[in-house]
Amino acid sequence: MWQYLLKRLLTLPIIVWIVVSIIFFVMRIIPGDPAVLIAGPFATPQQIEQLRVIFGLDKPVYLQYVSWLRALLRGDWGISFQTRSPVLPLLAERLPKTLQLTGLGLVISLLIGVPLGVTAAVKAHSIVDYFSTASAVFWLSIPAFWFALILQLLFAAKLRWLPISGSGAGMWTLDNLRHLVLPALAIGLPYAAQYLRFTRSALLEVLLQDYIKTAWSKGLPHRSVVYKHALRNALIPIITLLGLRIPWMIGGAVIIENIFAWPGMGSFVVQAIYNRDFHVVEGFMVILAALVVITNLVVDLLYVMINPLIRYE
Amino acid sequence: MNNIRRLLKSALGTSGIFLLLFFVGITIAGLFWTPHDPFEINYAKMFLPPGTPGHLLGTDALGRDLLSRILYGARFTFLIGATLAGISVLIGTILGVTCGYVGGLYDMLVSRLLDVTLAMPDIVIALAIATALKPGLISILVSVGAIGWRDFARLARGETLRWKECAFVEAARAYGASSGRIVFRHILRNILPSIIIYVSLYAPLAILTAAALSFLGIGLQPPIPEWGVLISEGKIYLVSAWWISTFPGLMLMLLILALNFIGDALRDLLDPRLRGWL
Repeated sequence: MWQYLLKRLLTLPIIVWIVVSIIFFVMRIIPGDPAVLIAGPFATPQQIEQLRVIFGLDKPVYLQYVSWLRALLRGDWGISFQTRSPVLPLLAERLPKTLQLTGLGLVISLLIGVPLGVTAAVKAHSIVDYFSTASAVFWLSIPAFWFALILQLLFAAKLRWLPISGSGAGMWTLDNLRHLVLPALAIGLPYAAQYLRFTRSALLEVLLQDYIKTAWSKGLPHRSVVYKHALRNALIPIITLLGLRIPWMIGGAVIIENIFAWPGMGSFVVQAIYNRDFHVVEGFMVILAALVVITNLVVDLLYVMINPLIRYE
Repeated sequence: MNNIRRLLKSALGTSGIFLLLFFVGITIAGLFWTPHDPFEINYAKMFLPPGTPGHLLGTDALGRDLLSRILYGARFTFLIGATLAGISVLIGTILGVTCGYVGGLYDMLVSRLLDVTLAMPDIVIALAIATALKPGLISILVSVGAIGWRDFARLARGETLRWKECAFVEAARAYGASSGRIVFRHILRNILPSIIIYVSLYAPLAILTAAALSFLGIGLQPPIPEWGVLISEGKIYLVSAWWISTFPGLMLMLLILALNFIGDALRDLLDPRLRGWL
């Protein structure tokens, strides 16, 4: 177990390195000169050349890569072309708000999706089942960015229950949490449908097993059979899906943050994309790659906690 | 034919097919005729609400007829969805089958690339690539296409590995069949049902991702009335003119719903074991 953990921890930076390298080369090889964009429409060729030297864009790509990688390790993630300030602090100060948003979105999706999926599986082919699985297809078909707008329209503009966009001061103030509700719903609800479908399938499969029949025939109470014997065994595929979807939620947050003007990394990165602010986009990718790898590791460790049969030797 | 009849028997499949036919119908209609010129700006007719005579779905901030714009824009959604599905299937299947069949270093390299990139969220990869390209149709196709092939490659590779050890493939090889014949005649034919299921489930995702890119302003550009662009155009007027974003989004949702219905029905038909897992 510990050996496995150590091995995983050692491969962690390698995977991050590969992802980051792919992103770097994709962004450099494809045409588009950031120096021209920074300089603006009235710059002379000399001024553009000057900027290229300052940002190191005049050097060959492989040299840029080596110096970029070295700087990355030192914590110097380059300068944002837009704000002319270091990238790492710019992203780091926005990271908590993104994590808060996706965190709440995740909680919402699980709290709605898993219990509904359990109910649908236990009462398979009942009205509850048909209704929840049918509505799941609806939720999976909704364009997330459009759904976000509809939420704004209904709950902020028409009913005036919640603020339409922006955020409050601090992290856990009432004002900030009120701003958080709508974007978190916009992220969480479509995923709730996925967890619903998945929980239902996973549980249905387990409920057919012999040991569940044994549990029923022993006369164990309903709650004990469903939650202790069945759901526990159905959790493995659910957690696998969870591990795959958490990074996706963070990715989806890019769009949702943009719509709700939520001051996380996402809204900042979209701005950076418009302005071809390479270093910011790359920095965002590095953080995301690290989050993906950490999520995978946590999921693997969760397997062991849930199912003692799995031991990583 | 028999399969199509069975597909029509399932309520889900039937409603999906009829919905899709409706969308195909309005797309074809939109190629030849729209109630008004979708690009004509008329400041006398700004923000007319839905139900105004002559403008069933109302008009936008520049007085353009929303219904005409939606009808005209349908072609982009179909074009993008179909092209992306085609590109992804082709590239993914070729890579996957060759990996599974040839194996060795080539297989290892492609598989590692798959593992690493599959960990990243689709939309983020698409965003990164779209950043580097000039916004437009090509940039959408490249950036969304760059994520789509991976699922097909993984599927085709796994299936190829499974089938290539089968007795009938061994037999064909013993008879002296060439590799090309084995791949096309024996392996591809057996993989096809799984690929069809994946296409039907992938197409809606591709359309949604492409629309999201246009919505963010890095896909198709205004004044092209692609549905993602239309939704984004209405964003600023959400409070005063709710219909500009609402109707295109509703259309997009119904189209995706139709495709998902068909995908689900196809999956039940061709491979019931996968129910709920895909």
